[in-house]
Amino acid sequence: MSKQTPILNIQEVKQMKAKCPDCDADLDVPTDTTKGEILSCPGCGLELEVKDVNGDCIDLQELTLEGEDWGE
Amino acid sequence: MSIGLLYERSENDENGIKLTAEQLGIDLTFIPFRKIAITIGKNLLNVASKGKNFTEVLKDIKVVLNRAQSKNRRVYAAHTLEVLGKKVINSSTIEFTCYSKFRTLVELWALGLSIPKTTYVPCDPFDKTKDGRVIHNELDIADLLQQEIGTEVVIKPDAGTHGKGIVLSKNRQTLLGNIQKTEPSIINPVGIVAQELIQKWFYDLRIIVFKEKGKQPVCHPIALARAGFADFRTNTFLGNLVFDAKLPFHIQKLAVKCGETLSKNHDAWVFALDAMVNVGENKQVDDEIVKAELQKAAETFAVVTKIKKDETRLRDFKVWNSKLETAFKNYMSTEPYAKIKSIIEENVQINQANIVFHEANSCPEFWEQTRLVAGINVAVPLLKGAQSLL
Repeated sequence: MSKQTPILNIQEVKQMKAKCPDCDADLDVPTDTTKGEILSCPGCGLELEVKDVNGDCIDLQELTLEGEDWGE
Repeated sequence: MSIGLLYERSENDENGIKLTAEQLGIDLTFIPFRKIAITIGKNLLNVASKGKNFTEVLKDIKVVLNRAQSKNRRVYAAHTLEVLGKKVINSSTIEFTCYSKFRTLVELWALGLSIPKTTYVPCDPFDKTKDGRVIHNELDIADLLQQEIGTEVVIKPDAGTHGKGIVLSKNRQTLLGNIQKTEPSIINPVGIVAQELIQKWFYDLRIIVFKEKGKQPVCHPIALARAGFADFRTNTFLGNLVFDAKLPFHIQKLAVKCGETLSKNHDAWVFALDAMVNVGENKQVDDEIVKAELQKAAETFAVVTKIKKDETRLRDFKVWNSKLETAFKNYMSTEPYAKIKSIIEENVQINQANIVFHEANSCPEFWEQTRLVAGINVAVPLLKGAQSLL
């Protein structure tokens, strides 16, 4: 019996390019990303909020966080 | 060899440091301190985020400006970097001291510097027995605080900031309630720290002291006075107004001594000291006059507050910064501002012998108030201090 190669049903995930507003690292953003989603920069780890998606353009903005022991 | 800027997130101060470095022609290397893995093992050191390796970058850095926002993580960062052979501003020993109000105060006290009467009780309001029962300690703690401080007691989280969790008790009932609320937490891990209430009238002072290697320590001669009657706390986070106030030479000298004491002979450092003047009844103007002027000043300050909250700072820092500078300039050019400033300066002058230092901030926020009102861009001594260590 010949061995059958399994067929994997992988959908191609299309991606857009964006830049981290803080460290300038390149981000691969899936095209189905929607406004309000939170992404993480692979370069610096900063959380970024998708403020707008317009065609191939994506507008990312740093999220404002505050930890309990954050301070001077 | 270069200077590194370590931070978790770039807030206005970190953006300000970058902008100032650009203006001074100083190259900064960014070290993220958040979603990054620092791995050690046999003959191994690896520092990497998911998308970038920082191990080689770090090798080239000699001095690091430590701007981690979390106090706990700042201590970790400073200690780790020092073990890796870096100089850090501020050092891990400074961070360790300044993390805790009590540690800071006991060091200032040991050198004879004036501090508020402060009591530390190394006990939490509640304990659990091994079989699950709860033991209440608040009555004993209240007894100790009243025995040492008296009726009016201010409880402060030992590692708190921005006035969070600071409560005033004016009688035993309130004190018991406030002790109950002061649970162990990341900002209050060691029991109860309490102080006498200083009669500071309506303002306190933020004083900047710094040192570069090879130079004498310096106290910036203008303090940031934070003023308001709304609360016994005068933190600007609570909506108080800010004024510049010239410091008498006597206070400048004491502030330098505080810096030297807390720095433990490190070559370069920067502190923002918080101080109060125990004015008591020695006021040269009636409270109602001050309140009226503060109310008028608040109207112009509303424009500053609006710009401070404007999210354009996240998109175009330089444009936002320019708007902020104009707003502060307008605020500071008003007559009520000048009147309050003059009242504070005169009051500091006549009560200068009664200054008490109550906190030292090792990673001060400065880009907005301190820079634009007190007139010192703390990024400059930070960067020059770092350069002096290269």
